[in-house]
Amino acid sequence: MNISEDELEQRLRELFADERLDLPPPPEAGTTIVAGARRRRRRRQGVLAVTGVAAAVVAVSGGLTMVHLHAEDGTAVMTADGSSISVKPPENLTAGRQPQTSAPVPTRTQDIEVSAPPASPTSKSPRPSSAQPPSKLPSVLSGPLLGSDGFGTIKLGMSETQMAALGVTLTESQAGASCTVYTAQGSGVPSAATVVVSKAVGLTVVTPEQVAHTAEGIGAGSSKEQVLATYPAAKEESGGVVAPATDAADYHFRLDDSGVVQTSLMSVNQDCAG
Amino acid sequence: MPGELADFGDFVQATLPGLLRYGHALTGNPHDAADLVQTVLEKIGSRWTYVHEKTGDPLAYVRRSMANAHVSRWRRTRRENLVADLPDTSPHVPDDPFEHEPLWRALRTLPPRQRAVMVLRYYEGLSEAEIAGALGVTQGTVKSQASKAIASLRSKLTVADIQGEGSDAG
Repeated sequence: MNISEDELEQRLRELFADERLDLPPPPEAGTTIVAGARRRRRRRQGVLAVTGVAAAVVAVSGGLTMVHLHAEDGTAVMTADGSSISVKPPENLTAGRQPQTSAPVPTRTQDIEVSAPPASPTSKSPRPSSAQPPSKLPSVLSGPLLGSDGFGTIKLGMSETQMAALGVTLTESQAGASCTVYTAQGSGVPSAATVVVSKAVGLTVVTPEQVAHTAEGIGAGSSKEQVLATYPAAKEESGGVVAPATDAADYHFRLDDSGVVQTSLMSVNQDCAG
Repeated sequence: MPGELADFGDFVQATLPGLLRYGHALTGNPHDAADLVQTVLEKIGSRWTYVHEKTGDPLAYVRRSMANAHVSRWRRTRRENLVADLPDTSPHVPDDPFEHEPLWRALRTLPPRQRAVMVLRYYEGLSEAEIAGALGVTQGTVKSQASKAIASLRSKLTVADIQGEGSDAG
């Protein structure tokens, strides 16, 4: 015999009042969350002016970093003993505005061919020791190498299926009409990366989660001057610098006061930005 | 603005236990609860001045955001992850304290919005109108979601389940 509605309501109230619902906060949870909020704010400020997929990628990769933290925190929560902690009584909700995520969903669609010939990078030599020696231009080689045509085995233009065949695990994090944002992991990539795949033209954006360096020695902490000096055709964009990697792709370097904080490779012709 | 974030830090310290508990009720498991709380608090912290000034009641705003985040994002993400063959990152998943509770398990089968309605109704004690406001849906939707949820839970629970709750005998 099934229970009555009254009985069920009573049981629900009891269950939700059960002290075993309490979860002891991990010791450093407050600090972690405040740091996370600060990081998000910085990211958003860097992101606001960047349009389209670049923004989506930045925001999404921000989110992914959080998730990793969570796993650890979640474990901490659970491995802590179940000792009871004081709990604030529930408070009623009132109307307010839902916070908006800063990641715009790519909308514009146009068919563009991206079977790009792997053109040579605009500048191969790390640093010409020419007339005006910019006093300090150390090459950055930290982090994974982000190539001019792709990241590890995955290359711009590849489909999800092709990447999966190379031992890359794609975890979807945000789907739009024509483009999907994934986390790429596995043996096919040097390290985890956020990627954007267009239905029409395949892989269009790669943003390693760890700040990657380019073959020209630009990477974490490189100054804007360094980037501009290394890539003569580079242009400043909001929040960073865009530099041609090949005829078909650009590097997007995001910068803050400490220099480069994110390196992305993005197809020039694609239907995700906008 | 360090002062502002210090203020947010105090808020987190004070509200975290209650929010984790609330997240546990909403998501149905401790890991997702911690995840949900952290995600929502970080987002809100990054806009703390705005939230503080414009909403007047940051805690209510956080709780409402958690309910919405759970409904809109959680379920979808987890479903998609299953398809993508995620590596198993947590070999040891600690037991949920309610693992053997028939009602807890029945709640787990509810779609997220129905579950959120149940939590807002029986955990938060909100009225239909308040739930509608919190979730941004009509009262009619709240009513229908609640009645579906109740019917679904009742169909899964027998008197024997409830009476035998907590004992695994038989």
